[in-house]
Amino acid sequence: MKSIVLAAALVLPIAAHAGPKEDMMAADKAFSDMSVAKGAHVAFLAYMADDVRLYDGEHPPIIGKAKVAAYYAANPDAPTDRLEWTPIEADASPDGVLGWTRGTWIYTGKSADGKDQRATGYYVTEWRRQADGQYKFTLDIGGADKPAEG
Amino acid sequence: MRTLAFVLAVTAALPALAGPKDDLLAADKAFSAMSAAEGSNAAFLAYLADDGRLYGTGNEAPIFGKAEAAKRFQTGGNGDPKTNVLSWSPNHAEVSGDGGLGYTDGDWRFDAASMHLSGHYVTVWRSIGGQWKVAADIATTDPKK
Repeated sequence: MKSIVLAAALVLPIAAHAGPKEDMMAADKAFSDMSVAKGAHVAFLAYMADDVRLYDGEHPPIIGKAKVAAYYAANPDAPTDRLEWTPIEADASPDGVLGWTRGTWIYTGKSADGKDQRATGYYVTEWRRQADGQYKFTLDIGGADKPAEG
Repeated sequence: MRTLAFVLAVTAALPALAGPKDDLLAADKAFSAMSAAEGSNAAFLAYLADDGRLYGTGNEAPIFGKAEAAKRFQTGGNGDPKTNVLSWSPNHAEVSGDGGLGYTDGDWRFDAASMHLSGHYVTVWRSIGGQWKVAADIATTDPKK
């Protein structure tokens, strides 16, 4: 019983004093949760910094939140689109202001003719702590895994 | 007069006191120049932090750490600048206020006799012993036209 109390006492302060890496991992997970719940575009707009740089491999980077919003308006999510990701690790500057997470993503949806689509890939997201203490992302780059041979 | 002399002294010193973003951009440019001159394998081994991560463009499994990079480069990568050249050009950098972490992003190109590829990249840098070292590198390949 005493050891349980000790264990609880040790665990609580750790949770309360999570560092910037843990905060960035948590932000990235919450970001993915919002993407699943509300759609990728809503989530990206909610989590991006105003001076964001978005690399998706298909075209030159889209720079600035206003340009991203215009691009999303012209290329809306389909209701069947689902994009989720899992951060694997994070790294932060000593002052905790800047950092990055990297992980893997899974996309599922329907093609124009109704067939199921699935793709997987990898990403790196750069984060910057805002004046209110919340992390927003300043840069996102990702690519798709090469399709399996054969 | 004393103020003017002070202003002149400060202004003259400015080029030597390039900001951390300029330092990082210069490091990335020197990294690319080394890749073009000596091959990207040699350049990555010179600039990679001991625990640096190379994700490449997703065509191959990521490389974790310099020791693994050295091993993988024995049979892969781009070893000979006479055969093929991987080069890049950063167009943006950000550095943390404490100067410990930063990143550059820009465009890369790969030129060989029969193949030309291009794309974008992000390199995450850590300041280690006063030198910028590559903590992570990730890239995308432009779609074929």
